[in-house]
Amino acid sequence: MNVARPTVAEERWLTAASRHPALRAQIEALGQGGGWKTTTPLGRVLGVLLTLLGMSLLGGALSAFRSPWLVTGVLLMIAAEIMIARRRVYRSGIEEVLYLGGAVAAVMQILDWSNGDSEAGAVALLSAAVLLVGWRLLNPVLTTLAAAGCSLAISLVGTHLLGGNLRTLESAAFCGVLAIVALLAGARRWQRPSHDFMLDGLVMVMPWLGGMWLMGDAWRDDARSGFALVISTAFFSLLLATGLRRRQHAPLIGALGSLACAGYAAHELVEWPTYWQLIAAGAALLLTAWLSDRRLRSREDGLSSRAVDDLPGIELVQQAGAAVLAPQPGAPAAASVGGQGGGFGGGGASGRF
Amino acid sequence: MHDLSEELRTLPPAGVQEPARQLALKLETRQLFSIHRELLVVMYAAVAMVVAGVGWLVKSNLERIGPITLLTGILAASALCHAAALRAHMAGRVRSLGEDYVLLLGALLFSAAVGYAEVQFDLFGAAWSRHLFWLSLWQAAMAYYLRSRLVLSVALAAFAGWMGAELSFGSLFEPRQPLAGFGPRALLCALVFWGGGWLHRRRQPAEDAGFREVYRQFAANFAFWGALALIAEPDTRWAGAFVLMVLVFVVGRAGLAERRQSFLLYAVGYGTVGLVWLESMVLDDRIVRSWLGLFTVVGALVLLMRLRAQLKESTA
Repeated sequence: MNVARPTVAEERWLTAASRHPALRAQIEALGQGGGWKTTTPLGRVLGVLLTLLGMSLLGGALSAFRSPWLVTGVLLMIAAEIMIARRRVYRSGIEEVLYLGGAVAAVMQILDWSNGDSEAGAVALLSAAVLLVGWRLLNPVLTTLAAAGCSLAISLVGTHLLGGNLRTLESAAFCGVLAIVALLAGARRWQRPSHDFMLDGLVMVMPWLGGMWLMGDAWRDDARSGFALVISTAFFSLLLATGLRRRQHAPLIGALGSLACAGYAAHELVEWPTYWQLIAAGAALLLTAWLSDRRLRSREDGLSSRAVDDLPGIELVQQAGAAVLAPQPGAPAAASVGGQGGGFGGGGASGRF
Repeated sequence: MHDLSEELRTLPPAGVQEPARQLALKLETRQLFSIHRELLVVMYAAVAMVVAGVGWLVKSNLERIGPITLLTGILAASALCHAAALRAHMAGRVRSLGEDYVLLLGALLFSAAVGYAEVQFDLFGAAWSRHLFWLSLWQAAMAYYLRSRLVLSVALAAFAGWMGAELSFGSLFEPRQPLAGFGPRALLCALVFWGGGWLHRRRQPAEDAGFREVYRQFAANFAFWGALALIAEPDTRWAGAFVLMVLVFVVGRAGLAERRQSFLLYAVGYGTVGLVWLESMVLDDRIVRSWLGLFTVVGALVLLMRLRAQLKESTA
């Protein structure tokens, strides 16, 4: 069956154009992208949001039908295929949400008809649908989401190798194994960038998801926290070393996630008050990052901290992030601070406002 | 891993910016590997953790430590952070990423100290919110002196806080008086921010330090939030719809003229959400409402596809 999607060569050119904005006009002038239409990350985000809104409205409009989920799902997938085949859209956000929403709606209808009471089976079926859509659209977000869904399905299975109290350990093991397999596979040179991105997604998300499963509510004690701390620290070291050696971003991002998990596990073990832990960890992180930046910013080759490419929207995100931390007025609060009333936190006061 | 250097080498020399190609080749072959974005995320998370920790510390230990000690400690930490930025400023060099975020931390700690002092010592009495105004002025002065867009963002957010226009979605539904509610306040904020940007219009990019863009981004967002808030109130619904349409036209036009994808996306996104919201409030029949909303969204998506060329060529 001939599936409408960019060939390997076309995808490589499309990726080159999006990754290097300064060369985009020249790359597009070559016409090697096969006529596929892509958009910017911000445009993709808006496409996703508007399509989600449209899908919910379509669900309401078709609610008069006897099986609205199935009808809606099939219609959405047909619309996505038409968009891809005729309009040749690729990673626009619109066809991705249409396909995903369609597949999930169809599976939900099947689950409704089957009257099955297996939560694990339902989650596994939904994850399989998401995986197929991710594979069809070459979308790493969806394939990673499917893997996360699989780990949830494992935790929901009735019988467990390690016993009922340790069920989240199996999910954590699944995430850990998947992360290591993806890390090993990531060393290979992949021709299709999206296949590499799918592995990157697993390397970035699975380690911290595994850490979260380890610290699930099944075993709340110091042994669990200690074990989670050791495993998360091991993953952090492994990913950091791999990222720096291979010069890949995905393991470094995965390392940051593992560091957060290790920090959370340490928080359970350390007797300090949480605010001191937050202040100490934040100050240590800031100091480490500052010193790293100071040491690396003047480098023209090798490992560097200078901004080398113009990531669209990064300035906007930083400004919004700073504004979110800024002092904001809140609702009037009962006296909790020195008799003047109000709570206090974040970048400013929230009391009496 | 994958490497697109083969493709970049085959680009015909004519029309290719050679320095850009060399940089791209260095990145593809990993001869140059930048961890700028990772450091950015780490620094933001670190600043957020410290600020959250300080807020929590104050709340939990006020009686044990005492207000003067706490205030002195926070102000001293803030002064240290500002000193790092001042050092770079005095040396006449551009601040590094690390110094930028340390300065942001200093500004936020100072905000925390001022907010705490107001809560503790009741400096402004009944006009308690005025401390946010003075805080915004101080932060703006520091932003201009040290040329920091991040601190300017903090200053504008504090100003908006003083105006009573919170940066939270829930505030749209607050049952306030229509004429003194969130909508008019947000629109007034937008007007002030737009004025700030207007004052920068003749400055050269190097002199401006990107401040005009910060003002305009805040102005556009607050204006659309104000229009949506007006639509949410029955008394001001149609006025809000009119303001929304004017904003869609003005902001969208500016986006097209200046090739700013953010403005185009605001016009399409906020405009669509506002229209669908209006339709859902005006129409009673759920099916008709859904179909009409669906057509509106499909129209917006078609428009978004047509604007693709402008989105790709813009830089914001």
